[in-house]
Amino acid sequence: MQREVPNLPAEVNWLLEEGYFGYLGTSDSHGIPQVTPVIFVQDGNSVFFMASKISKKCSNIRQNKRVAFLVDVRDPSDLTNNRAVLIEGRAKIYGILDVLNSLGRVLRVRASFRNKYPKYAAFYAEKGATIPKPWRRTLFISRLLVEVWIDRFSYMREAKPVALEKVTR
Amino acid sequence: MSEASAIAKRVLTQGAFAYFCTADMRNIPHVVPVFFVFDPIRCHAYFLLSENSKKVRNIRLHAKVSFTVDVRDPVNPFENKGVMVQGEAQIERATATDAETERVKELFEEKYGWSSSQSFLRYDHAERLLVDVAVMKITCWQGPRFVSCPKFCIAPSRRRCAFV
Repeated sequence: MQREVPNLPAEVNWLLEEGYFGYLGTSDSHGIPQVTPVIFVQDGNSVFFMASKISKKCSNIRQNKRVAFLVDVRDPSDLTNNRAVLIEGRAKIYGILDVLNSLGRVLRVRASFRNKYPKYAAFYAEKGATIPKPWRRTLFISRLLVEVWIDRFSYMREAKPVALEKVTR
Repeated sequence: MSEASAIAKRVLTQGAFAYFCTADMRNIPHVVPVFFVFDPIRCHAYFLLSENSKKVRNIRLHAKVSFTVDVRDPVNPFENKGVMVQGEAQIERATATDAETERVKELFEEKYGWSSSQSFLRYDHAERLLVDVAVMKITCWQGPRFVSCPKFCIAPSRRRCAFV
């Protein structure tokens, strides 16, 4: 279901709804960058993803909350035909109190993950017990919920930046 | 060759895109999809970037970069595989005519099927830069299994490797 967000243009909302993987760029306190793919959902002017508690991205976010998040949808028959949005934002790792304080939103995000990734959800439901601990979905024990607030974005079409209305927070 | 080496080498040589990450002077990361070639003999990756791009400005400030190349499976997360590389970038003019630059241009033309006359390597030289990334660390994953070099190595000679 398309969920319109007042501050984001339709093109960006479409990418955040349709994009299957996002590429999260983080950087540690020494400025050493890292980029990894994640599955994600949009909720309002934020994107959410889950990350292993022991992952380098969580360690980097603890050191530097500024992140980049790229969603790139591409025509497999024409590599140059793409639509992409690069988000510049601030990441927040949810602790137990954050989850309790935003329980409604966290439940909505959980439902969004299940709707967007039904095959992954089925896979985890079936194989959950055999998955290595860092990969299990158990919140706080294995995985952490991370929110990225969208501060700015740039939109690209066919590898070229396209001016769209900017988000201001 | 270990399984991780084989996966890493295959993904890096066959992947069409790399997601290239730099950081600016305020330590804000920046990620963009880019064409690339990987030279498994030298264990270096090469990118063609525009001179006025944000990533080039970032590299001039801060040479440490990272890029990821991955193969996605929309059904089974255990089949996702990819490689994340951290390295140090060096900017060169794409107009250079030395043997190494010519070899890299040929790698691009071979990988992307650009004929010499159509290749954007061959025109617009003033704006195009060749970025040479010396690989410092490779992390390879398949599903939930992660392994980082130097536990495995894709260089044909360990003498070339930054870890040795």
